[in-house]
Amino acid sequence: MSRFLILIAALALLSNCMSFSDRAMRPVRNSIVEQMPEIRLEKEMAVAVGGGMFDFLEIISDSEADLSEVDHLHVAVYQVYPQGGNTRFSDEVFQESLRAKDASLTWERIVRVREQDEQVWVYVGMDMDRQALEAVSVFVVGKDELVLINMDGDLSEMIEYAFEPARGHRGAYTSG
Amino acid sequence: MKLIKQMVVGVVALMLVTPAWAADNSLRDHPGYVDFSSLTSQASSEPTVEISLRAPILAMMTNLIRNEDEMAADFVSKLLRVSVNVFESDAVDVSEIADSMSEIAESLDDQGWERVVRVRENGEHVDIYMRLSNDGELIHGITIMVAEPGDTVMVNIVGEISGNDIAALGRRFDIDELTDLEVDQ
Repeated sequence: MSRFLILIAALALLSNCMSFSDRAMRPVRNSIVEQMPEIRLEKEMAVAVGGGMFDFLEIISDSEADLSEVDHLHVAVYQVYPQGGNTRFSDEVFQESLRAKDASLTWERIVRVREQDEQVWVYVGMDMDRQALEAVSVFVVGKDELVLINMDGDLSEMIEYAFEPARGHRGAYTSG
Repeated sequence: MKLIKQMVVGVVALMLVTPAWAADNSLRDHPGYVDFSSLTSQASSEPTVEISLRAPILAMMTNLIRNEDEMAADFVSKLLRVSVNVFESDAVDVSEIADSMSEIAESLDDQGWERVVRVRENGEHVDIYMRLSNDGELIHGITIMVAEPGDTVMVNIVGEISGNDIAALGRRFDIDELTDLEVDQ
């Protein structure tokens, strides 16, 4: 019985830490569509994971990354429907969309990767007053798809992982 | 009154924008800064990988690593910019890129940069330049240009770097050409 109750409690805890809403990413999505009227974005899927889940993962994982400082992880996948014209995503569009989400942070693109079927932009959001890395946002553009990934919290310890898309190339920062 | 308020808001906004613009412009005026746009256009394609680190994120890296590695934090704190452009494409003509590299190299020579490495071997072209301070104590900039079949790399590091930091810089930012380099100052 006690194991059953523990399992129920764990599920309740974890379910409170996770949802399938793209609400947190909607300012980004809406800003992109506003800047690029030539496209329409339709949500395919979204996952929002809260801090409790990362505390749990920190306990059970042997990863070097300090997951306990992560407050939220949001992932949203959108189907891109062109409505005539050239659908070309740009730094300016993404940077503006991040400002729409959180204007209190200074957003800088640190990595861009162009591969055959996919492009990746990685931005960091910094609190300049506290000199802290508060967010990492990743945009992945595929053939007809846009994936938005946002992680926020006190991410200074995890800065190395922001370079993951560029790993193996010169310039990708490593902790040593 | 409303007009005055609007004017005040406009002036304040301009004051906030101007430092950012001025900071960017002052970096371009830094003796260690190199503009690769001519070489980029020669490649006729966009970089496969672009890494761009400027002062704000570099300052945060400094704070982050200071607790674990004081020496590494010290040299990262002296950096103003790390820029890496990588072109991975067999469509890039190495000989044309090498010609553009030579033009940039000549320009660097004219500006007082010192060439520390030149390799022309087995289809590989490598140039490493450094811009020293007037007294030769510090390195204001490092420029690395590599062209080989399928792979063109351009790196510009701007800051106030000492010769002792070069190898550590190469290790932290995964730049092999710097890891084994020894600089006598």
